[in-house]
Amino acid sequence: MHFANIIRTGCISVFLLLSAQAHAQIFSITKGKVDFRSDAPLELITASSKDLKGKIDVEKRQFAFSVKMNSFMGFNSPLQREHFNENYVESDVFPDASFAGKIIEEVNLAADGTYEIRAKGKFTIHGVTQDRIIKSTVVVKNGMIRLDAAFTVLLADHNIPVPKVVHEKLASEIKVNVTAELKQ
Amino acid sequence: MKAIALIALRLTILSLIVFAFSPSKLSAQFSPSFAFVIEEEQMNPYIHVVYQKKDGYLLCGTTNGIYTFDGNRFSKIPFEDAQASDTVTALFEDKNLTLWAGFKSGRMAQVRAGKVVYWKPEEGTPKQPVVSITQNKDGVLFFSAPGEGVYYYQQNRMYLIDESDGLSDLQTGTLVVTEGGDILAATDNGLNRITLRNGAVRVEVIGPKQGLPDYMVTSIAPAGDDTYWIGLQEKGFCLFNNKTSEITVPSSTLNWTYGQVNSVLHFQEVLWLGTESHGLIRYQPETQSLDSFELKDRVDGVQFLMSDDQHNLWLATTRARLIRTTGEKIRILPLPEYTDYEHIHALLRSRDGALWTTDPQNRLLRIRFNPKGNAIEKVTIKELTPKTDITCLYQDPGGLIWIGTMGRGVFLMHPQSLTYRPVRELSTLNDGSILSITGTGNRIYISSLQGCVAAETDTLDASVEKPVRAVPWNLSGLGTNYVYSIYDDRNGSIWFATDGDGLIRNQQGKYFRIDQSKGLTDSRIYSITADKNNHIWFSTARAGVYRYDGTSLTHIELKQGLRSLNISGLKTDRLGNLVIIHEKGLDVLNAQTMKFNYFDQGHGVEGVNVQDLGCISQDANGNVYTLGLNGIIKYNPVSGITTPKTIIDSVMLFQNRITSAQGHIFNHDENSFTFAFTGLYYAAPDAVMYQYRLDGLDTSWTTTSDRLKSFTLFRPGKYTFRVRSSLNRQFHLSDEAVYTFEIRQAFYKTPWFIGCCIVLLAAALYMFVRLREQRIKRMELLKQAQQVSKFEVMKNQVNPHFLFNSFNTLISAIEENPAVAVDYAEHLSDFFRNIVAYRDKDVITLQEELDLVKNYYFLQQKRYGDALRLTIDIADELKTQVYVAPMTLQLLLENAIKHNAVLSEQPLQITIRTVGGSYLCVENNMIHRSSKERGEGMGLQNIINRYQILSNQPVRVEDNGSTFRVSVPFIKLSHD
Repeated sequence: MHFANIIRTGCISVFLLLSAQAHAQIFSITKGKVDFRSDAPLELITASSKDLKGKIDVEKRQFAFSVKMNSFMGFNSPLQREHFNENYVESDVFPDASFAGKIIEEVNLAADGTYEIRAKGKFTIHGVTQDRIIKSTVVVKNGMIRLDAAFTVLLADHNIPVPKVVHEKLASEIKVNVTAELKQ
Repeated sequence: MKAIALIALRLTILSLIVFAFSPSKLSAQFSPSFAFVIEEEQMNPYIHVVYQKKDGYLLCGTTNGIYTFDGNRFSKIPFEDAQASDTVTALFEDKNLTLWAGFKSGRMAQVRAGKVVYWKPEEGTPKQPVVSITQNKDGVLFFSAPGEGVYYYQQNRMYLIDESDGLSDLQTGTLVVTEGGDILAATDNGLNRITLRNGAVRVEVIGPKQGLPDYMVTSIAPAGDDTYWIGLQEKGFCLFNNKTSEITVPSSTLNWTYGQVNSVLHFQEVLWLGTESHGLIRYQPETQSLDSFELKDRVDGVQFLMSDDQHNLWLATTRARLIRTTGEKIRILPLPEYTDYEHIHALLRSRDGALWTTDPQNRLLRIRFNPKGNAIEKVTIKELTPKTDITCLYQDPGGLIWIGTMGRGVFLMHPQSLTYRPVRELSTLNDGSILSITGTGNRIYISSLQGCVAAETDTLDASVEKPVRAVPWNLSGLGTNYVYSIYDDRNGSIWFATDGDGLIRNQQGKYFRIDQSKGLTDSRIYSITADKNNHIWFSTARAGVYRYDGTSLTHIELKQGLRSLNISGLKTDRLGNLVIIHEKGLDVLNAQTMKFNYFDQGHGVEGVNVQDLGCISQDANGNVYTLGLNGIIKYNPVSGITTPKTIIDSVMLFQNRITSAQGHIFNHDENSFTFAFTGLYYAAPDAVMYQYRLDGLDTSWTTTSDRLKSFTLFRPGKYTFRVRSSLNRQFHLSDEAVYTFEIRQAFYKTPWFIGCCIVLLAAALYMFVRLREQRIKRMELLKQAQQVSKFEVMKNQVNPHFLFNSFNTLISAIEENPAVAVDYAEHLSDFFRNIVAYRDKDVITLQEELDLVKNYYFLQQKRYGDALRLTIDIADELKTQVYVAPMTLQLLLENAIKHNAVLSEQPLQITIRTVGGSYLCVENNMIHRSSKERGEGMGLQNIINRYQILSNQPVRVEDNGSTFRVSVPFIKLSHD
């Protein structure tokens, strides 16, 4: 079976698992955005996607997020976007990037407040999974969770090769920003 | 801030009274200890963790940050943000010597450039306290944060190992690296072994199923050979073998009563356990004995245990004290009944473990040790009065105790039954005053004021009644002086320490004396022993210690590092070191390296009894016993020499600390340096003396007890600051700490700059001179060339013209008068011969020129006859003194003929004479000539040109219409 499919199935199963629980503790993303930025000496590339999907189980402190790679827009040219999808992340083979796991801190996200939390989980892009701890700021107010996170992705960690010819145009370390709003 | 050393080495009267009420019980042995507290204004910080850095400094992690301890003072390492205050719960120095700190808040920091700087990785730091930090072989850092798990930091990424990775519990504690590079983690649910390979984490749990007696593991300590002591919450401890994954539970822990173990430490070949409420516990693996270990300072709860590289044991107590103790090394057994120990002259540790000594009534005391409390028995020997001193005690191989007295001879006692009898078989010693009793095998050697006696007894017989036989002994070579002690080296010789006759050796009946003749400076010998190489060591009354190797003596006294010459005796410990006992303490000398370890006040050894030789004993394990201010001192040998560690703490330039980034090269105006240094020696920080020398300025070492030295250097150059520290002023045996630096020469003083200038100057000068020379040369050459060419030209000009005329004259003469023609031809040939002769000359004499002129005139007269008249009017002297350019006058004559009509009606009168004393002139009357001959003007110009080069004075041509005169200057010297 195609590896990408396994991941997709995996993510979906997590979602289903979460959904199967009592509804009260599961928050789902109503609005979500992922931005990334490649800052190379000769070129700056930015792109973003509004296609972020995900859920947080506030009782179990577990979460699962995913985004479709081909939903990213904003590159410096359509050709660049095409290269991104076909050559780099190979979105036809690995359609999703996902992050699923557990929140380390013993916080109650159902209660209003501002929390600095760390999420420990498995981060998958281009079919390669890495254990990651990602810090994020969570503001809970009136039943809405607002989440902000910033982290870096090393292309080498996920088997995304950068050919020598584009070394100056593509950063090996990509800065990613995630913002999301979740509701029950 | 100063540390208050709570040193209380004198037993107070109060405690004496307390103990006097229980005469049969004795207070337990204790180890000397010294307590330190960090003084701060608000509240004394509570010490959570103690760590020794690689450079030797001790660090305390406290509720108020990190403090450095040098044995005396605590100094806080400031936070980068001066306002910060954080409780330190973990300390670790990684492979790159970066100091890491973990805090109760979960934050983490590094110490950079002397400041605590928070570390903020991208992933964030824990929210739970970081209680342990360690690093594996590959450089990966591990942090334990109970409540979250074990983190590791690899290649700039932080990862968490928690239950999802197999960790048995999130309440993790101490982390220890195994010899293979794995991590052992203590958790509340067993021991976890974490393996990290190729980025993959594997966790194995070792719990009750694998033999662990308790779930909650509190602490771990390496015990060597990949085995680890595991401290437990309820069940004490056990031993974990990492290679076999087996757990060994010592039988002594089966009924564990000491409560929760907070910290374990393997040190001095013993396991130390710091417990929450039962103080310090000691477990000896060899004997499997477990007991409470008393220190001078009362300790209820131990938070943390650590040992340093100077054989000290450190405890952080639950009451915010830092305690340093000698541990096993030095133990004190107080004899609290007595206010002083003047009456004690003898000491013996018998093989059953009991300690024998005397009381003020000269009763024999036997002290038996028991974990529950020591038992003391008093034995009265009825033959002795309270005034009869017991001077020495000896236990023979059979086990019987030999007792020597002053005035009552020798007694034999059974150690268990305490039955005794006087020894009467040695008649000389009856009622004798015994100085020492020693022996080997079945031989007993006794020295007394009545002389020396050798006896024999059956060693296998353990009854007091066994017979003692005197052995005949030829002691004639011994002299008349008393013998303080006798030593059988088991190598065929018996040695006698005499009072004034030096050391006497009895080798198979022959006597040899080692005294002044061998270089001995004090002939009163007290105590003898031998080292592992069978060299004999002995102590003298006032001159220190000597070593005799069979041929020569080596003297060990103050210069070699001995602290005092008031020595009571010597023993050899089981490591082969010499234990020299004197009033200041114990000096332990390593016989190979000749280096000392000192045990004195800083180790609780004080007021040693040096009066009595019998007050030294050694047990079967090689431990040495003697008597001190506080009771009986037991010394347990340690290997390794401890000397103060010299460290240059900081170098300051004009009050500013120099950072490593600044390097070691300074400008000529950066010349004021201050060096701060320390010799770390925790047992006696104030006893450390220093010596420094600044290479480049000083030629000798300066001794000081200050820890700062400043220099202002005016001379540029390379300098090296050297400092070394020592406890005994034997600095040449110490290591040095150095700091090398260079002060650059002022730019304008640097040799290369000056050199450049000089070179430039020289070059300029040289160029100038050369150019001038060249110019001169060029001018010379030019002149010469000119000259040469001119001459050539001129010479060519002269000859053809005249020849032409001469031949014309000759031709006309041949037809007219052949005889005359011959004469003419002869004169002509003469003339030309002369010309040829003078042709290459620059100048000729006037005489020669005049001859030429006369010749020429003769030739012309043939042509012109009387119409031509020549008058020469020159003084004779001048003819040889004055020079002329060749053919000058002749040419002038020729010119005169050429330019004037020569007619008999108007004869041409030519006169050659001197003018003005420096000129020659040729003058003639002017007769107009109708036709002009060819080549006019060139001959005269020729002469003018020639004379321009030959003389400074010009050729004068005067033409007044009737007389034509040409004057040429004299040439006096040859011209070159």
